[in-house]
Amino acid sequence: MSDQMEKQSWFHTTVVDNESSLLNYTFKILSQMATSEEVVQESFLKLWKQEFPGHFEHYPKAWLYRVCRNLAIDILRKDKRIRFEDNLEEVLSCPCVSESLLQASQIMAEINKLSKAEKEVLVLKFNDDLSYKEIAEVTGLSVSLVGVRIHKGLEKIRKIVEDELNNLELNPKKKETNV
Amino acid sequence: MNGENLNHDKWNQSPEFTAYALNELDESRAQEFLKELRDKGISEEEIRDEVASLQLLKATLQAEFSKDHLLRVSPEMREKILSPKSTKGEQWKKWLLGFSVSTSVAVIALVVFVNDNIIDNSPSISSINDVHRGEKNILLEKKKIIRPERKQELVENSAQLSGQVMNTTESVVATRMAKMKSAQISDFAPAAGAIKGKMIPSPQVTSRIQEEEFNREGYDKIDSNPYTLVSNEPLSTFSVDVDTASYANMRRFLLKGQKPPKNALRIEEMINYFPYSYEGDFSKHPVAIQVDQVQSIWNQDRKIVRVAMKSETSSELAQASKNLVFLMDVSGSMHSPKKLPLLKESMQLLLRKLKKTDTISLVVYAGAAGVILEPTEVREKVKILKALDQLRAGGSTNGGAGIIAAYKMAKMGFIKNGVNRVILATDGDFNVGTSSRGALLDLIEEKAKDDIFLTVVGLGMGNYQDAMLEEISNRGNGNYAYIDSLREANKLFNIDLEKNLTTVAKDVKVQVEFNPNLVKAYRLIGYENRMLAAKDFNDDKKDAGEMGSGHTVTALYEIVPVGGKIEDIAPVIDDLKYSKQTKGKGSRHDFDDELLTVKVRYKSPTGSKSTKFEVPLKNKTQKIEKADRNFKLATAAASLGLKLRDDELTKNYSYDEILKLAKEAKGSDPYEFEAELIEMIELAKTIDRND
Repeated sequence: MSDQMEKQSWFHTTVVDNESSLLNYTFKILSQMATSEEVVQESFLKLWKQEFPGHFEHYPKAWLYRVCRNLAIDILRKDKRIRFEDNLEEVLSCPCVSESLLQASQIMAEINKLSKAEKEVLVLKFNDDLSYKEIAEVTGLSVSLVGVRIHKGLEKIRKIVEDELNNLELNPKKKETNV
Repeated sequence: MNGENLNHDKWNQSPEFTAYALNELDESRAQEFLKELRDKGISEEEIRDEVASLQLLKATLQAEFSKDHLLRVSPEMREKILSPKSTKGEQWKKWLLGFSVSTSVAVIALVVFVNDNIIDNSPSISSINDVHRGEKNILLEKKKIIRPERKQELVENSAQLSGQVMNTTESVVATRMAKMKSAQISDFAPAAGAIKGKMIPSPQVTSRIQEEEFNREGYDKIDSNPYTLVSNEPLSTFSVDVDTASYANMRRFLLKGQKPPKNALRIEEMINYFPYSYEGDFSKHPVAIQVDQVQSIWNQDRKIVRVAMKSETSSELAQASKNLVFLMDVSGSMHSPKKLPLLKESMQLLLRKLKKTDTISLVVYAGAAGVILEPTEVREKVKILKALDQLRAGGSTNGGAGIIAAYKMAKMGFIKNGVNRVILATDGDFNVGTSSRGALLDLIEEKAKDDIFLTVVGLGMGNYQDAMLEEISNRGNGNYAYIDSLREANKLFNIDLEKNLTTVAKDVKVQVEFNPNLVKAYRLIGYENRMLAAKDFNDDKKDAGEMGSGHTVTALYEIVPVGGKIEDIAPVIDDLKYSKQTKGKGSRHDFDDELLTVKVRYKSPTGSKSTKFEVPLKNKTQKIEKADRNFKLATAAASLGLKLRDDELTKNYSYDEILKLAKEAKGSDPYEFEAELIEMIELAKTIDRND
């Protein structure tokens, strides 16, 4: 394979692997579908313009998240008039999202009570499955600060989650074994 | 972050402990940390409990977040992303085609990353302290060589191993602990694979990984039906098959840019994936049949005969109450987002489509089987959704116990004259419990006798056990589909719901008798594992396939007319010296204008005695251009499958020709299945180097 071919194949794998996580991530920041799509597109365009083979072709994920995050924050800074009403319909038009909104759980409610800083690292950790180090890369925090925030965030929601879990029928003590 | 400062009460409340439990510490630090805790007099058990509890917290949060991880990238957007301004080459366009294909890609993206942190159970991978020690590159190096598919495999191996090590603990917590433990024992997950005695490549051998990945998936060998001389065997007998799994599985491979393994391609399932607009008269039988022919597109001087069947669309059955039992595999290997989470979403789709009075039950099986939800009416949707939400993957698989529990639920909620069905959703790795494949199959066959039908839904990749699932569905009066995306789930549970959940004809068998005066040899395309002996046709004890409401089944034969050449086919036995080789009524001259006769046998859904009818086909010739759209579509789908199997038949038939045929076949295509086929052909063309 020529370098060009290799780049194309690498690029396209990267797109397929990351596009929808990035879109979901960006949407969480912007709550606007069209703008989020633009941001994701832009981030991939930036990726494409990078030199290849470069130092991050094996691991572009954190890089992409960071670019999306920065772009999204830029947009938020420029436009403070983003209204939720505009997006509500959009959000509700996606059946599954509406489904989950309608039955928003205790746990989610608790997460929403956390500080923005804690919420962000928890989302990156548990929603986007980034490692501490990757989160550090994305947010510009130090790895140890990421660790502290995740720890604190977890401490705060732990009780409510465990209460929920105790109600579970999947709880081994309650579980029937019909065999 | 300094362990020494902790007193005993708070040992588990430091950020470092959290990092440890989340496998964010590098191996050496993790060991050190563990030692520090032990030195403080904390028992291994206490530590393990605490780690498990954090792991459970993590899994819960992941499940919670996964609920709104649902935005998908539109095809237009993907097109834009994939054509950055700097490239306009033609080759690149070809690449694009593959990725504008379906929304399934959205889900693929989830798969890749949600698993990272499980893999990180192997404490060698990620770290906080690496950074401080200036060993930043360790992380990158590891990630470099462990590709997503590979990780998947590692996850599954460590999950399986954990099952053995822990001697099948039941609870999620225990399993999570076991995972930790196995990671510690084996130090590095591949070793876990080695213990299990499977071929696991060392992570350094990246080039071989894709190949190995195939090996982990279980496919039975498919030997294409050979050409058969009519003089030797004038009867061709097979069971109908409405499964579609093979097509969706093929799509998964093509989307990954890989040629599917030959044994993953069952041509009949590729043909039958598509909805055909056959018409039929159902006044006498619930199954209508149409037989016709065209000149072969694959070989000169041959013909393609199509046997097109359609079952009645039964509004009565569509209205009938449904008693559905979901038997869900929640073993460790189902953890991947493309498995359990996708299944949950699929079920939400299904719930919308059901009546309020239909009932749903949930049975899970992992280390042990458990009934999560007894038959519950769909009107109690919140209860059902709640039960669904609570499902977590963990543990190894005990398929047998789950099957028993599921059929028990189905019997409990049995609706007379309604739809009673067990829906088994799994990646098919039955590795604990009811031991052998044979014993499990016998169990299912036994259970299937109570008018409870079965749908098998295959999920996932990497250790996907296709052969096993297909066989289960065959033995359990079932059908079999593969879900790789919400789009496919939508086809199964929404668009085709009535087809898949109802049964209008049972044990449908087809027998074709060829006229030896006109046909020299024939070959049935596909249906290799659906072949029946000629005498089975009239034997009502012999099980065969079911057809649901409005199902279509299409079978294609290529035939060599008398006088045609067949030297490229299997060696012919010598002509018999004493016997006239023509036998049966086919030789009688009154039928000389008949090429063949198709006989069909079926039973009513609850009947035990079969009914037979037959349709002859007159000999005439037409070109494929003149054939109807359905014929072209079936032939195009078959051609793609044959081509990917490097079949003799399509040796001289190019992807471009298949493409042309598929384009001609495209109709209004409301669900874009045909458009997708066209894209698949284009994709296959770029991937298959044998063309």
